[in-house]
Amino acid sequence: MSEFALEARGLGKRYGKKWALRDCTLEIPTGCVAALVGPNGAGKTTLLHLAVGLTDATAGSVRVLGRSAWERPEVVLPRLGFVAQEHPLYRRFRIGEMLKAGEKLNATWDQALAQTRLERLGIPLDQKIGTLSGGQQAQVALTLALAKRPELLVLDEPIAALDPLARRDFLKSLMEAVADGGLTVLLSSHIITDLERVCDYMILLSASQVQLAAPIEDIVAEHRVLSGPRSDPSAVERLHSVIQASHTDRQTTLVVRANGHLYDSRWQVDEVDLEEIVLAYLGRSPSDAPESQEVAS
Amino acid sequence: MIWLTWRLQRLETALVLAALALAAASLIPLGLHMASVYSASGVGACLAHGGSGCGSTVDSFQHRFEHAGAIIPWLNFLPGLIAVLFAAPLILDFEHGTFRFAWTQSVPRNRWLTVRLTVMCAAALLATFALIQLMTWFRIPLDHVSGRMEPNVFDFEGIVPYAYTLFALALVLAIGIVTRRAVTAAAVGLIAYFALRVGIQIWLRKDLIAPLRKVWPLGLPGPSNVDRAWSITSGPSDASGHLLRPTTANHILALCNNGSTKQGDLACMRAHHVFNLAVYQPASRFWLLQGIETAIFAALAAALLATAVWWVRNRVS
Amino acid sequence: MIEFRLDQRSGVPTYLQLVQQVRQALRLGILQPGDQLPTVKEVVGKLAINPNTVLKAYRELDREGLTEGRRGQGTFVSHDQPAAVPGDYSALRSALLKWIERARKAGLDDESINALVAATLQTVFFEKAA
Repeated sequence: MSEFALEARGLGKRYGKKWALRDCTLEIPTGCVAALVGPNGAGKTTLLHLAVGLTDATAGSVRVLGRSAWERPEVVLPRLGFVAQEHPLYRRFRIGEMLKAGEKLNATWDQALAQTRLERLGIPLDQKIGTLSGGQQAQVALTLALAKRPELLVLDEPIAALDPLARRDFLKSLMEAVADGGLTVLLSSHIITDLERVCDYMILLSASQVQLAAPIEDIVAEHRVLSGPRSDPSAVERLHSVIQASHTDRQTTLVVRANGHLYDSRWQVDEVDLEEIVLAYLGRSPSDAPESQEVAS
Repeated sequence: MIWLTWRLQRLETALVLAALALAAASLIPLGLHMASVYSASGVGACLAHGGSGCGSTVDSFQHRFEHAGAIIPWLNFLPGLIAVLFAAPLILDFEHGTFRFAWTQSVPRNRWLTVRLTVMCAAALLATFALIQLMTWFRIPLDHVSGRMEPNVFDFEGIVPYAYTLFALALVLAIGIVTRRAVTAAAVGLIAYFALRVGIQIWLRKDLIAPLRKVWPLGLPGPSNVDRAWSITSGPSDASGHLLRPTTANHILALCNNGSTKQGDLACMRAHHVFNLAVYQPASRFWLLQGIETAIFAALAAALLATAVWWVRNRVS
Repeated sequence: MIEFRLDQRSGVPTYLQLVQQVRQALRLGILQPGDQLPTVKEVVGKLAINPNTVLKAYRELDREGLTEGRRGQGTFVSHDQPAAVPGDYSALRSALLKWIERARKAGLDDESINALVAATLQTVFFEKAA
């Protein structure tokens, strides 16, 4: 098993003249639960579709489980589970038939796992897909993906359309599957709440570019909010990267990614939670993006 | 994969079978009745050997079953219906996004597409085969009497219906895959399909090969192959084969119809240089015309199918 | 059997909340030596949290000697618990009570006292680190 479940190098996808994803380089370590976070239209779905081989890259490459899903689908697809946005299922099928479709389309298929899971969730096999609630449909789609016994599970906005209770139930059963071991998860979301407790790795995508890709623990540990009397943040900027600076006429507040130890008597230093960090990154204008900074320095 | 494809089009297959059963239910009793009248009244013998009174026997048979042709134009909808119903499951896959489910299982998408298209086309061709069998059997007596060259007969026999079905199928499918809307595809596809069918039938088919043009003097028997041919133009003409204007024709008719003998009338009209004209496609050209029209529609179907496949491979994700 | 719960707003890391709840349950006698802690899958299925978080909490408890992981069986409360030193805590507690009284007299309310303690802890932390 390779060290990374997913590796992207300079990955880009262009539709017509518009880049949906650009210069994306990141790695997702095997065994983690990674959140792909960003506003709508940031390129999350494009990245996931590139990863699972639904579309091919305009630039760069993406490998999952060591191979390109676009070039070698017969090798990658059997080891990959994917639940697309709005978890599409054949509406006219009964759940049992949906499972049969999964069985027919896959060489490795754990029918017992699928049946046990659905039984525990109280979803009868003879029910029509079209009559299920959104939460139940999401659970059926997840079951189909898990019954492949995948090494990597990719979920596109799995909880966006669910009510809070269904959302929690979905995450519970997803985490149970992770607890069984051997599974890396990549899920996209534009909702940050709930993700912090579920995920241990985060990729932040905005304006078609990767802003941040790191273990959540490191992200939270590295970021601090500094507040103090109004001043020019350039002194802080020499050592650390300032993600967001806001000023009133008397006070300056900075969200900072600390480069090593951060202690400065002029500033009050506070911890900052994941949601605030994400919002600070999303609030930046595109010209502050890390890539352009590197070019400038 | 085969099971899934079958399961996805189970409902549509049932609907096609129901439509074919409906057509069969209305044609089979009538066909049996027609066949029994055909043999009982000796129409077959008349056509084979001729004889006194045969003209009126054949005419009365033709007159009696003229109305049988009335329901046949409606059956023109069947190839379109077959196409829409068999294309629908695949279009719905794109409309509902379920293709993403299929493409991320272990079956590579090229195989998925090949199986889906093959099963879809095979099912549509099989349904068309049933329709052709039904129509050809029903028309046996009528074909003996009046041939199978006329529109609404030509379109249901031989091989050209297969090409119509395939063309309609490919057209609906291509529109459906590009728009990802099954209802739009069915509506636009059917309108375009019928427009092209009618256009080719009215304006193009008769000139696919130059029709025969025969001019002969009044009172003499016409060419023998005009009987069961597709008559495009016929009537009184001048010696060089130009149709007489109706006023001129009526004028001559009034002039010559002076109540004397039939021979006298004919002689009068001959004196006015009136001839018979027939422009027609003879029955012997049935397979040639079928072949050309089949080739046209099959080529269009192939082009549309290729477009659909290209679109699926390059534009859908 | 102990049932875990989470306070999302507390700001205390999830794994630490689990550790604290086990410590508290031991103190209160809810957990006895030899008791089994819920399996990772059970906790995860209840709280919808990452399994690694539960593993981290259990590792921490193992490290403190409060529990022991048995291969293939689960995590159990240790029979020999590290001795608690209640005497030390009560001395500290009475000193703290006296200090709080002085702070009140100096005009500090609860919030100010908390802020002062937090700021001082932070200073001590940074001095130690530097």
